[in-house]
Amino acid sequence: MNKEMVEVKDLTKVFSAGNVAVNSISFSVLENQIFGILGPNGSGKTTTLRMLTTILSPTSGSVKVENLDYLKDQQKIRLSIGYVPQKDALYQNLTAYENVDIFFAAYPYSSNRKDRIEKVLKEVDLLDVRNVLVRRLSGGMAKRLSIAAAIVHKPKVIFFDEVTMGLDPVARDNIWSLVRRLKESATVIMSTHYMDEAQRLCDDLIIMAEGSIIARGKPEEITKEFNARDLQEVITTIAKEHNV
Amino acid sequence: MFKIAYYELKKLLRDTSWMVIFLLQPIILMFLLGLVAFYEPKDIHVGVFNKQENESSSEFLDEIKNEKIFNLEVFSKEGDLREAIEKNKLKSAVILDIEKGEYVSGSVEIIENSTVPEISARSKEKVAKIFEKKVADYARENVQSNIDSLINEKKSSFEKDREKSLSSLKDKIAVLSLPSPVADQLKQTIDDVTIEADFNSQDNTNVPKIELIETKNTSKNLKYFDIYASAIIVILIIMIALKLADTTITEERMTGTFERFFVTPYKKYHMILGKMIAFTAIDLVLAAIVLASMATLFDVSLGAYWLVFSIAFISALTAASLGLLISCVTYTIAESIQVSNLIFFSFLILTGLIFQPESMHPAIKSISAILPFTYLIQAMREINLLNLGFGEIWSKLAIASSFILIFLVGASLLLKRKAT
Repeated sequence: MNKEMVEVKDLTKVFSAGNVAVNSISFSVLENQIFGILGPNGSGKTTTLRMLTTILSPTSGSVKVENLDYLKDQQKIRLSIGYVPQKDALYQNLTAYENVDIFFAAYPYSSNRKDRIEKVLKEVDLLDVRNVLVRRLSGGMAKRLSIAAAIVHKPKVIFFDEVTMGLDPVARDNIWSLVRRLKESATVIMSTHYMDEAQRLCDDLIIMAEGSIIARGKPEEITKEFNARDLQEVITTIAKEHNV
Repeated sequence: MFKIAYYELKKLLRDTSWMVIFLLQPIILMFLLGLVAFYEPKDIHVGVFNKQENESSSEFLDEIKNEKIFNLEVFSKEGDLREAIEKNKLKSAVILDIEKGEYVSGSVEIIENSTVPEISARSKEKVAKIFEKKVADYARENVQSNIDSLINEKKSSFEKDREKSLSSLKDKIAVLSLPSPVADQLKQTIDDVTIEADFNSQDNTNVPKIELIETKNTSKNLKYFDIYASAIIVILIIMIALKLADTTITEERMTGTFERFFVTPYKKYHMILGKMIAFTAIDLVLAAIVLASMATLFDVSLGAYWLVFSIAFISALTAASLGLLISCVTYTIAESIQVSNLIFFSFLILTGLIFQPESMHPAIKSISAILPFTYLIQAMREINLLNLGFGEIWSKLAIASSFILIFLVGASLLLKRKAT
């Protein structure tokens, strides 16, 4: 039995205008799982991801990553997580190597940093372009570099926020392969709009609507529960039911 | 933190268009500012109408004509002159109404053009100076003439009295029936008598005058641009350094690097100080470019170089830290630029460059007195124009430097991890 890497209990986020973005959700994610957070627009998945990555503070509830409490051990949690944002979030006037280096510098690392950066660039198939400025890389390459910057410090939990959005099918396929490889050494939590992506990659997932969890389980279990052909049909049904 | 500074610097230096603008901006602006304030104002178009044609008014008119700053147009009708100034065709107008009777009297009317207050005031000042001098001369002339006529009056009355007294004395001698030789001797003696009266010294009486002596509190021979150059150096550096920093964090928010940054163990102050270190390096170059342009292009009067450079550098750092603070509390680039512009122009107004503290509302005057840029401009002026040393300006530099710290601490405290 894999250990619990992330534990979320009654997590709630209410914004200042009184808008309840996330409404008392609870779930847990096991080690070396690919865990999906799905839902139509405005369902609260990005807010949830932001709370899990320490960017946003929850209004109430608790989050534990590797048994570390969000409120007490925020800095320790940051050491063991990696985050791949929706945007590439890279410095256009720095090279591929320099982009990884600037974020890697935030983490303690006992071995040779240069070797580690080159190794991770090789893992994402960007070693040949390590000295190329980011503004000259293709969309797929930039996304892989974004992943490299998030995994260079060997995080135990990696968060992906709609990572394949806007990529062509080949680039998406490359990212999927990479995510599958990462699963061997880390736990992956991803939010996505693409149901085929969730169907193919996720071991376990939650579907959110209006800040609450509507369904939870493996993709095939959820499909069965909703008596649908695939996850796309499930989301369509949920969107209709919640008028979103 | 140093890695952030290193890469921040690299990012900036790799942006070729940014580099070109950064390097050229101070030089172009300096060049323009230097040229627009190149000469002491001259060729000021002033209209004159002389109501009374007499010696005194002609003298007055000649004095105005001799003033090099005026491009004088003499009007033959008062109405034409008034119409010209009302229609903004003259920078100012002068109407001479000087009468020369027994005394010099009359008026000199100076009409200012409200659309060009500064230049109009300058010509008014010149005319007023001529006026003051001539009026003093005329006054002395009038008093002198009074004294002269009084003396003459006294003199002639005295002469009459003396003649009268002597003739009465002679008459009295005649009735005394003195022997003829004695009487003749006495009359001769009376004729020879001269009564010493020092009218001559009174003839030379001069009315004393008070002279106006104008000097400056500096031994430096200052050019017109020198007076403005010190403030321009500080303002220009502030503007460029502020613009360099005011969107730096906002851009990170927009590109998403900000969000990624704060999922790492980096702390807020790492980002602030990392960027500040990079800006410090850039600001060193900025201060050097601005001062070199000033010294080489316009041969501006500068004080001790190390002090001038220190003030320029502190100005840049203060502005950069303020820019960082603005960038920390704003969430879009448009917002950052708006706030930065507002603050820059407010400072510009409050530093005393355009409007002097003496004309300010007491509340605004107090605000002006606590702004770091006010102190920096004052310090730069004192060093460059008055040749003062570190001993006299250190407190101003200390106040401005403390603002760097205040802005940086404020930036660290107010920076929210919120993305756009």
